[in-house]
Amino acid sequence: MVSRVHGGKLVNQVATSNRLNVLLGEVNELPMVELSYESAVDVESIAHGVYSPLEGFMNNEAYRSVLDEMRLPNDLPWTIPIVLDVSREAVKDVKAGDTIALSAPGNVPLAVMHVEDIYGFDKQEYSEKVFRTTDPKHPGVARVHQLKDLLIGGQIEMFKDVENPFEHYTLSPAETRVLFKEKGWRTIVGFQTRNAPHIGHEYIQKSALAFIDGVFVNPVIGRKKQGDFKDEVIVEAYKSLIDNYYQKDTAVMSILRYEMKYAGPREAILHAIIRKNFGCTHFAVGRDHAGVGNYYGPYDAQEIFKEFPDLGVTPVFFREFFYCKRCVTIVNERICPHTGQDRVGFSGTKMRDMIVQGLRPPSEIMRPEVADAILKFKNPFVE
Amino acid sequence: MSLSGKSDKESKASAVSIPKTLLGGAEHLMKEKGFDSISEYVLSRLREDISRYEADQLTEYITPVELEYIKQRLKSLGYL
Repeated sequence: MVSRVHGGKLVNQVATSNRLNVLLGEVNELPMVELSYESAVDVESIAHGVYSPLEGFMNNEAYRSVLDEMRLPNDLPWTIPIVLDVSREAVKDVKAGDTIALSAPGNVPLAVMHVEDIYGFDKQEYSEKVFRTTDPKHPGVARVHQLKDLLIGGQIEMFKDVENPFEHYTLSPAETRVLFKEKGWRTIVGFQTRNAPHIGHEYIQKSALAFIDGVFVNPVIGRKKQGDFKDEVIVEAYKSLIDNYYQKDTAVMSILRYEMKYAGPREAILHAIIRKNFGCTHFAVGRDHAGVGNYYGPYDAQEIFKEFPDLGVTPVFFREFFYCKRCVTIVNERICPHTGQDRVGFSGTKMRDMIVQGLRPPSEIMRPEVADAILKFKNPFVE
Repeated sequence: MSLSGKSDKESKASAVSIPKTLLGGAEHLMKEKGFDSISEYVLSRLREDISRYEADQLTEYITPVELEYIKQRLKSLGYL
């Protein structure tokens, strides 16, 4: 039993057989808009149903509804607009009702879009509502300000996948749903990550496994901020953790090609919806999920779930784990009565410093096999 | 309405047995949650659960040929 798809229907906008031939015959005659790599990946995600029920990039009505109500016009929860930005020049001859070709960088056609509308948007308003700040130092805000001035909405039909260096670790929602069924999992917890795993991450996953059949580790692969682990490092580190420390058939990993927004609470809901579409019945939400700096309270991303009782995926909330010298084990503040210096937190900065120096972090902080997998890389961090 | 005097909706319904030991608690919950009857309460919970989970509905969006292809890919990648 897997989770019901968000909106009830797994979207499949991948053209096949006759339709594929028609599109391939037409595409060179259509006005072409070249996308960024990130937008091209969004096309692929839409086509494969990762963003079900979206069948294309949001039109103005959906954009406004998501921004103002955190819901699609049909009332389904949705918290971050999925939009395609274009320059005025690129669409000067395009109007609603037209069909255009979308290409990956390098003018490689990958899809067509049936244009519903082209509209302007207020970047300050977007930032204020999605990120709760307009501070240009916030990486999500900075990214929004890099977007082109117009958004173009409409259904897409894809006929070519985007180049993917992690193809062997990439599964579509249809594939994960088959996988979970074949494994006989009735309950599945989705685990979002953009980090190589330390022991705290492992404890969250294993705590969930105490009452849930399987964990779906789904690291985000894509543009991140400086200092984050590189994509290939995250994949190798998780592979090492699962191979060495998980019961067979209790954990699977596949990647999610997605650009982090760092939108904290709103992004936690989007992450949960995406994992629901992959078939997860539960979704793990830890401390400062999808946060950055001090823009969000440590548990804001858990609080927001109260506003979405109809999400259709059960959030599983975790407090932060740490090592307690007196408990002599990994605990969190709900189960450990000790305080102060007895507690050793999983400081990302400290771990980074040690890794940069070529040192293994202590084994109560990071599994040695995971540390070794990371240390194989000359520079494991995004510069 | 059907000849039995029940509405079409009711005549298509099935009875569910609830042990008497549970009934007291169920009546309390039903009132607390604002339902008028145990049937309404049970129906609502069932709808909620059904909307959340789907059992073996893969065939709604995957053809048998696609299913075999997916299984082969999962095997070749080491997932199965």
